[in-house]
This record gives sequence, structure tokens and C-alpha cells, in this order.
Amino acid sequence: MFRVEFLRIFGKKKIYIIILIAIICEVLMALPVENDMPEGFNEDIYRYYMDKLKGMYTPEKQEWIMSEYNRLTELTANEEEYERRYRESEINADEYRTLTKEIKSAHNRLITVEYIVNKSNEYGKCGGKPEYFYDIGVENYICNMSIDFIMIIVLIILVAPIYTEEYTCGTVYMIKSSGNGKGKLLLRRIALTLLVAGIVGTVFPIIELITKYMRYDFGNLHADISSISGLQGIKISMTIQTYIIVTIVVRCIYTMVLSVLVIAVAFAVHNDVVIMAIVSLIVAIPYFLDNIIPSSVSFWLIHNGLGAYRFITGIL
Amino acid sequence: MLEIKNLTKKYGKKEALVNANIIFNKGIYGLLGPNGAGKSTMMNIIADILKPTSGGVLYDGQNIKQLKSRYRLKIGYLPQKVGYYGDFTAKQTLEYFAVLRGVEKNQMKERIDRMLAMVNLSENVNDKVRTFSGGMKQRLGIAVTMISEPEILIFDEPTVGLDPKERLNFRKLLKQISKERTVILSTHIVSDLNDIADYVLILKEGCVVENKKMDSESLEGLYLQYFGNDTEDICSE
Repeated sequence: MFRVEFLRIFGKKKIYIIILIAIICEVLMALPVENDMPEGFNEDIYRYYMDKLKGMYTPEKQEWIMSEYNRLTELTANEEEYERRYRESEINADEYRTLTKEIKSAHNRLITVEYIVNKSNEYGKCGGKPEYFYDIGVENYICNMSIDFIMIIVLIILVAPIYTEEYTCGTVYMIKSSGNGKGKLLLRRIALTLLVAGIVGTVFPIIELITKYMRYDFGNLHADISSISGLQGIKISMTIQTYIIVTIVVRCIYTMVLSVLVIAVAFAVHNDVVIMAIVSLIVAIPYFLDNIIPSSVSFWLIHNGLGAYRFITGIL
Repeated sequence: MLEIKNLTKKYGKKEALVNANIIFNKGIYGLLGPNGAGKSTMMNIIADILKPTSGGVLYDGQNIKQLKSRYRLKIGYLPQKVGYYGDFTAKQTLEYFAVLRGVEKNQMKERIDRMLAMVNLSENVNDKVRTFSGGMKQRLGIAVTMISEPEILIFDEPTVGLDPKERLNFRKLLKQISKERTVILSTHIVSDLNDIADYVLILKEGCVVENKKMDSESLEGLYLQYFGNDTEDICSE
């Protein structure tokens, strides 16, 4: 029974076309890594310093990067002073040309080095075992995890017809009057739903991961999770690799929970489009509250009854 | 043996079936009545799709509510509005319903081949159902209904949408498959029951007003007696 239900959903060419389109969209969405870096941050300079600092954090490395930052700051701060000295012939043209070159380079490096200094300060305070490495890709992957709407749409497209197609095609009465058309069939369908949700919930985060891995080198995945900015607060010591696996498992469970929501809605309405609208709305409301509604309105809504809802969907 | 006992079904305040009592033995039972008489409601209750408001359906003396899937494995139901998964072939459709109707795996192939041959669809075994004509779909429906070789066959308005030739073929087929079975056939077309029904049941406004052995000569007269000029739609088709 499980096999025939599986064939009913996956025996259609259009399903594979939809999956292919969704995978392409997922890759395209994952490609442009949104940079939360400050303006003027340079990836090549960052890579250069990270290669120099590579390895476990030590107070000496922190001191070194701090002294580098002070040197660059001093150079840029004395730009006018060097110009005056050159005008007053205290330094010759060659010396001035060299200094100008250094100042220009210092200007280019300053923002990036300042970023590394801040990172080092965080490392010094976190109490974990952070490591320096070129972490742009992996940090971006970890810090920009959010609701994957492409995955949710694919989930609904695959799962909703398990419950609605019998109504749209008119087979519902023949199925419900069949010996195994009620309880047994429902159990198989729920099992199929969870299997599909599990696969979708695992495959899509992995597609995102692979895309970012190919676009940016992930560097040292065996480094401690405290190496990632913003994750120093995590009390448990684990490698970045373990953390990524845990997040994929969590996202897989989230997708399975979401599929249960799809089942519940599918029982109430027997139309794929309406299911898509309702589930998307339910999923998007917390996101909407956090990101779109002005914070004052959001605050008012949360404190007027939506707090509990937001809490539950937040957990989900 | 199938028995309907004090069966009543209400939709809100409207009574679709009122205290119906019928005993079905082997043979073809024609359930006759105009649209809205309660035929489909009765069929859906017998097919364990709808729950009655009161009363019940007994199979060998046991209420089907208790028998659940054990009862449903004994029946084959072809509803009035039937559809199929368009992407399925005839073979896949039969395979799907064979599984749902509890056909053993080792009997599956032989059963599917036999059913397709019976409804004259052997040549269309690998054709997608969406390419089938209305008549072919109806024949496929009969094959689906018969796939588990059930004891009780329930056909709800099976000839709607069929042309006269297909209707005649359907009657022949029904006669052929009805041996040693209980067949309940609902229709609002008097001629559908001619020559094939063993018993006729007439339903009027949810009540069983007639339950007798078939006598084709007096069937139309009987119908006129209950529905008068309302028979227009019944006889015209």
C-alpha cells in the first residue's frame, strides 16, 4: 500500500520538473552570500591575515593583530603630517612616495583589520577554544539560516496531494469504501508524508550547504563552534561540523512537524492552493512580525494575545 | 445477507432517508427513484462512507459499524461521480484499488488481466486513464469494483453519461457479473432495470414505498403510480 501511494505521488513527470526547478532556485538563492561585513571589508585582505593567524587563538596573536591595527591607524592618522614634512622638505620624494603607498594600503586594510581585532577580543572573552581560519562562507551559512520558503513550497507540493488528490480526481468514495481505504491507508499516508518531509528537510539544507561550500571554502570545519562570531555564547563545546549536522537534523525535524501541519490543513480543506496559502501564512506570520511590521506595532500585537502563538510557532 | 434496519439520515432538519428497512439476498436489486429521493444517501451508507443518523446496516447479523474494514472488504462500490488518477494507466488504477481492496499479491496479475478482459479493456492496459472515453471509464469503474470479487456490488447511477449502446453493454456486463452476488443498482431510469433486475425498490422522499419482485411489464405503471408526471425525466432518458 505504501508503494502504490508512493507511485501515485512520485509517478508523475511534473513532480520531477518541480523538484528540479526548486533545486535550481535553492542554488541560486544560496549563491550570493549576503555579507554582514562592514563597508570597506575586503575578503582578500581578510584571507591574508587569517592565513597569518591560522590556528588556535592565543593572547600573543591577539596582541599581534592589535599592534598591526595600531600601526595602520597611526599611518592613516599622520597622513597630513607626512604631507607637511614633504612640503617642508623634511623628507624627500622617494620617502614620501613610499609613505603614500603605505598609507593607501593602510586605508584599504584598516576596516578589515578592525573587524579581526573585534573578533580577537570576542575570542579572548568567550572562554571556548576558538581558532583563526578563513571563515567567511561557513559563518555566513550558519549566521544566515532562516525559513527556507522554497523548501516549504516543495514540501506542500509533494505532501498536499497525498490527501487532496482523491477529492480533485473524484476517487474519494471508491477509496473510502475500500477495505483498506480508511485507517490502514491513513497510517501509510502519514508514514509517506513523514518520509517525504524528512527527505526534503535534509536535502534542501544540504543543497544550500554544498552551494556555499563550493562558492566559498568552508575552511576548518573541525574548529570549535566558538570560532564563529555570534556563537561564542554556546556553552556546549562542539566542532563546526557537528554544529552543522545538528542544524540539519533540527531543520529536518522542523520540516516533519510542518508536514503534520500540512496534513491537518489538508483534512480541513481539500484544495492544494488553499493549503499552500494557509500553511505559508502560518509559517510566515512570526517572520512577518519580526521583520516587516514596525517594531511598535509588532510589540503591541505580541502583548495583545499573539505572544503565545508566536512562542509556539517559534518552537516549531 | 445484508440488511438495512430502521435507517434514517438527516442533513440538518431535512430527512434524506426515513426509517428504511430492506433485506438484500443474492440477486440484482434495482433502487428506483427520481433525483433527490435519497438513493445516493442510501448507497453511501451501505458503502460505509456516510454514517446514518439512526438505525444501521447489518451484514450477516452484525452492524457494519463494528465490522469496519472486514465489511468493506466484502463490498465493491461504484459511486455516481467517479474519477480516476489521470496519470495512472488502466493497469496501475486496478493495481492501486486491488491493494486497497485487499487482493493478495500473488493473485494480483491474474486478477487484473481477467478484469480487464471482462470489461474489454485488455488492449488499453497501458493507456493513461485521462485518454479514456466516458464509456471506457465506466467499464474501468466496473473492473475496479470487481477487482476483489466482492460479495456485494453497489452501483450508484452507473449509466449516467453513457450513450444507448454503452448502456446496453453495461447491462449485459452487469448480468454477467451478478451471479451469486448481491447487486444493488440505483437509477432514475426505468429502462436500466428492464431484463436485469430481480427485485425493485422504489424510493420516494426518503421512504421505501415499494419493495417487490421485478415485473418489467408493470414497472413503468408502478412508477407512474408513485411519481405521476414526475416520471418525465425518468422515462425520457
